[in-house]
Amino acid sequence: MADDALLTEMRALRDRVIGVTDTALASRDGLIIRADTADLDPDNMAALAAASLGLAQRMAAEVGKGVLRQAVTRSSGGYIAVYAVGPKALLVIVGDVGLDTVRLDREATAAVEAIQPLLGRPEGAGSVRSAG
Amino acid sequence: MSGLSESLHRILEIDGARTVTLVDVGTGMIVDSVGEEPAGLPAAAASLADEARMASAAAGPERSGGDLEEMLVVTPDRVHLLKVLSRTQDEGFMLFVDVDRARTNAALAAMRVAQFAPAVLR
Amino acid sequence: MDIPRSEPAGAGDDSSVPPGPGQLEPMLVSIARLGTSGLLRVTGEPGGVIHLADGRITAISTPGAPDPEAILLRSDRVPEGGWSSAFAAAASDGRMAAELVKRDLIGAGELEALLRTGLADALFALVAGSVQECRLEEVATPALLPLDPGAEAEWLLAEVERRLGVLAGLRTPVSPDRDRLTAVQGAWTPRVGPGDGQAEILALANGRRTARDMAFVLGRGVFAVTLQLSRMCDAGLLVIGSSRSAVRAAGLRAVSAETAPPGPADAAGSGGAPPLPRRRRGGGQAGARPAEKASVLRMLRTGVRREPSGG
Repeated sequence: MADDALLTEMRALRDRVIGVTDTALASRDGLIIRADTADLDPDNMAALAAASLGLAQRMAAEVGKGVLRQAVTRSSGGYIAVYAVGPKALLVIVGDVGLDTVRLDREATAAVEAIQPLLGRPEGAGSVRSAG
Repeated sequence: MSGLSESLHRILEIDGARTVTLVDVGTGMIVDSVGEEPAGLPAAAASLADEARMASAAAGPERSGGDLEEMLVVTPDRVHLLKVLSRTQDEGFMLFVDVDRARTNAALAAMRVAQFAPAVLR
Repeated sequence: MDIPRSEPAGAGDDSSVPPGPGQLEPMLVSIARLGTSGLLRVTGEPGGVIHLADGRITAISTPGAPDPEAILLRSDRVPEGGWSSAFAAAASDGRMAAELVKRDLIGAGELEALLRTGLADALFALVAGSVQECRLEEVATPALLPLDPGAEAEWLLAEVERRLGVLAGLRTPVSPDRDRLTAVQGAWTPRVGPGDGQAEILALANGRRTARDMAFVLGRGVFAVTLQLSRMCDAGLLVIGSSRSAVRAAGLRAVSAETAPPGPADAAGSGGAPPLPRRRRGGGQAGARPAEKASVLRMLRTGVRREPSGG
């Protein structure tokens, strides 16, 4: 099932990378697709991540340093990383200050590759599901 | 010598003090120690941290008397002084001082330790 | 104990250091003997970097345990504003520790004590995890809050051994970075005072966090939190709900222990915990560990196996 497969990928990412606390998959127009979050509001996350990614991509284009790979927000208590998933979706990863950022980049990039084909299917997008 | 070691050495100058050890309450780890270091000291430090925690718990949920500050364990030859330097009951540090009773009395030793203890973490 | 100084090994000069990628402890012992300065990069899980000065360990950075900044800030010992000001004033000159003390943000003795326990915690996380390779490098960026003078590797390693022994003796074994804990519904009555930290732990124990995760939130040591979690399991306040799956070698994908059983993508064969990169070499230069310690290490790396909680 595409539904379970998306959450499986997201949970696997959290499992494999030390320091990841929450992940969310959203559409580029800020609507949540899947959320593996605890105390965060997935809808707010989706909307903000979409805005953040859009801005980051425009900045990357503006400075002419190539294609945006990752938009990162670094706070005193942790990180938020946003990756584009194809042209239509994005993946948000929230982590604590001990986040293994090197591993995250590798694993998130691989997760994005794995998630993309799953989104191509009709039942893979749109419906909101939470991991609880 | 580090500032921490210096503070511990000052306490070691107390009459009768044989060992002065700074113990991490949460893990039982010896952070630093001066004076004699018998082989059983690491295990003793860990047990003492457990004892301090259990003594705190025994005081009950309200802790009407306040938080644990000190413990004295007295044997014919020695006084073992535990002085709590914690922020909370579960974390922070504790001073363990092993004192020879032949050279001082428990009350005097406790008084001197209390005098020098606050400087340890400063 | 003074370690005789010798020419520090240059980056990449491995000839004086014993061969074998996964031998962290023997490498540290050699480094101590040679008085090496530099950076020891440990790849593995959690892996990390160990800062060395004259054969002593001054700082360790690892995803497996909170660093001094995380401890000071998250435990509320140092306020954010104070930290930022001190950082702005002193970080680029390498004087952060002195600045924090000068501004009365923390006592020098307390800072030193925290740096020491922090090093033990971080080395424990490295040793208890899996090590693929250890490589000596030049220091690129000096550590922000180094212990100066550094701690003797032998002293830290002895403390790590002691901790492994303590873990082996726990009534409820808990793997610090694999086992996820959940608060038992209705089990908690306020039986202990505000200072004891149980309420904080129960609030964090949502089935997603390991001891390591909670340590980062609270600004406490991972080992200290692990011991407390074990005690709270004994007291019936917490249960281990699930475990993080073992990490495979690069290229293969692991399946979370929380979700469905492994599918056809499981190239390594059986659906059970795959073998981790081999950490211990046969023949034990450091001396063979008792069988008990070996089983503790296994538990640490795979977590205490539990049925998926389904939640």
